[in-house]
Amino acid sequence: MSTPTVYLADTDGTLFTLSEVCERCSIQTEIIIEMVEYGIVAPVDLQTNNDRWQFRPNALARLHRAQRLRQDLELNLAGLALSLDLLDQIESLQREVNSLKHQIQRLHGG
Amino acid sequence: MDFKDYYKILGVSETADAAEIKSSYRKLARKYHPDVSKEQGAEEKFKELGEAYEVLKDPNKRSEYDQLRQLGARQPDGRFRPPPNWKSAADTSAEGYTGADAGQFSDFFESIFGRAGTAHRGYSDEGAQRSFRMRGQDIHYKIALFLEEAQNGGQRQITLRIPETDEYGLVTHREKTLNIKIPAKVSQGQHIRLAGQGAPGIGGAEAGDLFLEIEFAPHPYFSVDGNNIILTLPITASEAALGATIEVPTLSGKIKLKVPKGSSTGDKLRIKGKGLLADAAAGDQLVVLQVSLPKQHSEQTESLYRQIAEQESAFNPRASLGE
Repeated sequence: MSTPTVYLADTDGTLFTLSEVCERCSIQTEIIIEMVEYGIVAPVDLQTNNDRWQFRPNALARLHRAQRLRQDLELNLAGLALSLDLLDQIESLQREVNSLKHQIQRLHGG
Repeated sequence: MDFKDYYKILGVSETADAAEIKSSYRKLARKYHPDVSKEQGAEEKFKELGEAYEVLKDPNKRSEYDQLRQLGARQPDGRFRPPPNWKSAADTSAEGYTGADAGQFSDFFESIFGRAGTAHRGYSDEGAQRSFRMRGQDIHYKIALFLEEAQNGGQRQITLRIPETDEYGLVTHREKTLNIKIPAKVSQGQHIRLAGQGAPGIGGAEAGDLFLEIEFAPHPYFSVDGNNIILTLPITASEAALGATIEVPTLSGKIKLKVPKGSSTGDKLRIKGKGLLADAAAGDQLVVLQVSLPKQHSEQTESLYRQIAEQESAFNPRASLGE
């Protein structure tokens, strides 16, 4: 294999407009607006008019996940918002449990 | 190829009615959805469920499948081969599949129902097809970094599965290996973007982007708490009693730490600014002391301990237990 090219990952904090988010996530504008109302995702500045909304890259990942769950499990938006919140909580608790387990293991010389 | 028992996959009997199949599918889909389940192989399991449901929910497909199931199970080697001249009614139908992603069905499924429906999905108008342009899909991917890599940046090779859609809408997957330069000071949950490294565009449109979500891999001796890192530091009883200067690891190399005299297990020492680097303020390193003793002592040491016991007889470490 030839020497692979090296790509620079950018953390320049690119933001995405509502229409860019719609295209990237294949979700209709109205549904994204509703998802924002349900608190599933939030633009950087919620106070502005939605044609000036801007989203961070993590909103894209969240919308992808939301869309998969909505389609695959036939969830409505309220159910979707609750599921995502609970999944987030589980993830953060799981991380904490893992970290505490590690510390305990070390305390016992494991 | 192996015969897939769709009834077994959905956990229903051969005589199950449509309602039972639907309810069992929904229950299992919730359990194994790759966005919900942390179980290994959940994604494969979920795809299998979708495929099984696609067949069993449709009375025509189900009856064709039932016929084959009877035949297929009787192969002497236990493997499945569709009978010669087998042709499914679904194979020639232009309506295609109703499932979420027909492109991901197994070879077994395609050997029975064909893949005609897949190629035509969503593209009914021949004229529109030629001028069809669509930006490539974004790819989201998680990447686990060691703390040192996340702090100092570094190079990492990753292999991705990139979906490629041809002009007929048929999706294939291709493996792609990239060498990526990770910037310094990335944090847990941060997303970094590689422009144009997602799926290629259709009809000459631009490619999607690749987004990497940073996760911290467990470190052999550091734990992370926000921007602080925590280190458990074993010390001897004499170091605890008398105080000592001890060399400890930090993310930026070893430094000398002063352990004060009279320390105990669980005492915390803070090393300012030696936590995770962040754009705002760097975190601290917290050192948790842990007094450690050898399993056996020499006779001489034991007699010294007896002297200590006499000297410190007033000390009650179990006062809080009400003794």
